[in-house]
Amino acid sequence: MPILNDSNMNAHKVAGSSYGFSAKRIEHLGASEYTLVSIAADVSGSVSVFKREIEKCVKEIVRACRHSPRADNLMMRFTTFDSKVTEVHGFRPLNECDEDKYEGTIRIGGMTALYDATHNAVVSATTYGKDLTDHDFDVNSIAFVITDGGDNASVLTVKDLNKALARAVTSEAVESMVSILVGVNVADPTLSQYLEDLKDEAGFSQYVELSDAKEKTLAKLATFVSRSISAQSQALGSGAATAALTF
Amino acid sequence: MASDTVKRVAARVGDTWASDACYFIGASHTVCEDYALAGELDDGRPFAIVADGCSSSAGTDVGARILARIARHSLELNDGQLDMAWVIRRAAACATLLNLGPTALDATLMVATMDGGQAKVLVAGDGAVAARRCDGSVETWELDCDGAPGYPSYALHPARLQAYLDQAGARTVVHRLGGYPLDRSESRLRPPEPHSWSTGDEHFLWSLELDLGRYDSVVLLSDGATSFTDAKGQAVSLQVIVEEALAVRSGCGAYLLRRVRRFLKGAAKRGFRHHDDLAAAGLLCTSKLANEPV
Repeated sequence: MPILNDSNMNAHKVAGSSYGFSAKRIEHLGASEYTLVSIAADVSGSVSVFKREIEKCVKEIVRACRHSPRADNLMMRFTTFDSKVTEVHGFRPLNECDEDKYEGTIRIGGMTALYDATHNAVVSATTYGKDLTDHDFDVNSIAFVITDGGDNASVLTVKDLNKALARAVTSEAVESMVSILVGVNVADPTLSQYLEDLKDEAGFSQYVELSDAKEKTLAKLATFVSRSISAQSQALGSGAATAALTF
Repeated sequence: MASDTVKRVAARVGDTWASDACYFIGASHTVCEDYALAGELDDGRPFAIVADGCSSSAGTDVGARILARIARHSLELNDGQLDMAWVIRRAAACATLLNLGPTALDATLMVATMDGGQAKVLVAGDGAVAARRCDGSVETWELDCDGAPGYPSYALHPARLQAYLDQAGARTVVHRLGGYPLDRSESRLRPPEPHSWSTGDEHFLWSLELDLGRYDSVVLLSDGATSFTDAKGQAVSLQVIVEEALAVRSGCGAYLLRRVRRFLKGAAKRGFRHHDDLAAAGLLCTSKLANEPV
């Protein structure tokens, strides 16, 4: 899955999944501690109406994080998912994430492989985090899964998600892991309940619900995401995850 | 805490070496007077340098940096050899330009370089040298001057040098393997020659040569490594410190900084403190490590 056109990146496999990930080679890292940020965005057919707003939201997240005092200690990975999971870019330091390069990354597809995408986002952070920890880096992570609908295309199950999230929290791969499920344009109460239940069954740290996908709402989401990233990064070294922020 | 440059170099056919350095302020200090430097010379050979400023002399935080930087320059100019007489004269000129007092250069100096298949270590003052054998066992050489190290700066002032030799001027070197003593030497130091410093047990400049075929890592440590106490206030042995510092798994990036930082965090949780500044600089054979599973 990773598209490797950068010799500074390594491709990694993910156990139990047909999807892998790419990440910056350790010898090219400048800091000695990192917060790994995973963002997985739904690009299934239903997102087409607000795909530009989603793209703008991701660009704003990158822009806002670059102003964080912890910017040098952030690495970000961005994936999109419809029937399959696509890595737009692997874990790379934030200063190598150019906002303009996110233009056109939201390519609308078919169905929604929500579980596969979540699993990939979480396990990639845990796997790379373990590699970094083994090389004496201090690491924690935060993952955001942004979706407007339920799963209808995954190979993996909610149980697999639960295991992956539990392992991320209990293993010593990373100091702490925060996982946030974001429901966008959730007007249907059935969908709302589904995502609430998914949050509990899978073991997400937090569920944030957006009733629409207007530009203003997604701008607010971008602020929430960047603040959460900053808070988790500042928690690095404390041994604990950041407290959940209010959307 | 800080680290200075890491480079991956080929020193022998088939082997690649990395180097790194780091320094940390001690619990009882307000300024860090230790400094460490590592990198590669113009010809690609790695080097590691540690300088430890005297805490009761003014300006030694700057003095330690001057000595270390000029020592590096000396290595560059002399095909990897250290000209201590030149270093101390040059350092004195820099200190004068910076309007530093006469005692600002009161600092120990430790230098490690590679020459063919050997690591060459030179120490003026006190500190510790640790080397990990390829079988994983750790050798240490602990240089102790009973709290009065022979600073190279004494050579700049005959009266200070004589006073030092009369009142102190002794050095004990204990060589251990796995924490168990192998041998011990005690020497009274002789004054250094004005133009070319000799090396040896009774000289200001102590030397050590290590066959790099037997070792995969060499680390220089300031005497802060012997200043650790545990939660009960008991001294922590040097062996504990060096085994942690040498337990690196790869030579990627600032490997020694991360390793020592990780150790210090864990040590703090156990109630360990290092009262003196701590500096470490080392050479690591990455090709030998590459054959070991992480």
